[in-house]
Amino acid sequence: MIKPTLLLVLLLSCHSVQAHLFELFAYTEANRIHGSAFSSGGQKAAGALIKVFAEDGHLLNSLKSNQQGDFVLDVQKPGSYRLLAESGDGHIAERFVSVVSQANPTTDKTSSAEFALPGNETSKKSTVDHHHRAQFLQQVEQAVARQVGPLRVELQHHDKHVRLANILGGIGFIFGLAGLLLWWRCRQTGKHRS
Amino acid sequence: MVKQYGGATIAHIPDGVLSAPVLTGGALAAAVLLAVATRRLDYDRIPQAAVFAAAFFVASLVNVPIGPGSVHLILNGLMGLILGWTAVPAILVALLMQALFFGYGGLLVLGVNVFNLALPALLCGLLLGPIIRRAGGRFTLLWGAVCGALGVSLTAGLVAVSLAASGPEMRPAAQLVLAAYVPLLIVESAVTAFAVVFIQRVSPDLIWNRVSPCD
Repeated sequence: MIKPTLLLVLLLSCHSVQAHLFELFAYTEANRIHGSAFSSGGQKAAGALIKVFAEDGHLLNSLKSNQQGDFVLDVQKPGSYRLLAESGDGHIAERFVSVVSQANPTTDKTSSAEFALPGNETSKKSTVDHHHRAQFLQQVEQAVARQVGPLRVELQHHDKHVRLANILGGIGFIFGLAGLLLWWRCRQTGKHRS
Repeated sequence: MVKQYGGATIAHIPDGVLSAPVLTGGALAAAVLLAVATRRLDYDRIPQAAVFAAAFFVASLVNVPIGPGSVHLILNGLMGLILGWTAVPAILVALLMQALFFGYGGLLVLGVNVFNLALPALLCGLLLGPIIRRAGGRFTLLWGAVCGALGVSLTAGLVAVSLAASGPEMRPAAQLVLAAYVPLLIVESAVTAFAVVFIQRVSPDLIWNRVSPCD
């Protein structure tokens, strides 16, 4: 005869467990939106439905995250966009992003733009004009965004990760409250008896 | 600049999702439940309430993969069956701890979440407790499954109503919650059934005590 406790253990056995808070992270690089959907346990949400809404609320596009939970979307014009992610099991998450540039994001990580640091007397190139300076600054921003974006995702993973200390603290708090209530009850009972 | 309000699940509605009237109504309803529960509090069940509150607190951390998605246990049906009215403050404390320690749910929406979970728990205790006690140990597995299913079904319905009542833009989310509760129904029914059978074997007084916990 199969014991209920054994069946219970088998039923709850699974290869992975994670907390259930569903998160959506996104950042912009020129007119390209990079994002990722994941649970607060760090597991990637593959195949999550991502909807993109314009400022006026109408649906612009919908796409699905890849196997790593990531997605990339090019937008036509700058502005604020609302991203809505649905995990398919009842979890939804929302994020607003602002696209501020019309420039095409470069995939070349090494810039070949000519530049000179202001006040650098040892530079071999002469000071660039205003247009080249603006280009240079834009490429620097894009390069920084590419490097910082994944770091921000990691930071959010770490921030949202459920820690053992929090679990134990919560459990301790619950039993502490119960103990306080019983102590108070004992005092009340003792007063009535006396 | 980015803004995020997190996700809505079948049990935890986060802050910033529901409208003010729904938040106010839910808080008032939860306050009424809590006031009645406080007056009918069974101090002999405080230790059991603490254990169940801790189990509820931890249960939301354990996700069981079901196909493309995943579900986590609620256990409100089991809590209502064993604790009766004491389940209301137990659920309140557990939800508060989840909001403070994990960020699940929220403080403004605490009343709605408490109501959505505690009312089904109470109904499970009121409706199924006497039936299970009269059964005298027969069909415990079946009635335990019914208890789990009833708790989840009522919770899903209340969550969907809470979302739908907050505005037309939340109705797709309400439909999504209802669609997602089916796998949870299956898992919760099974776990509750086995839990009730286990409690019957190791501590039958919790179920077959002479006084109903809902009296």
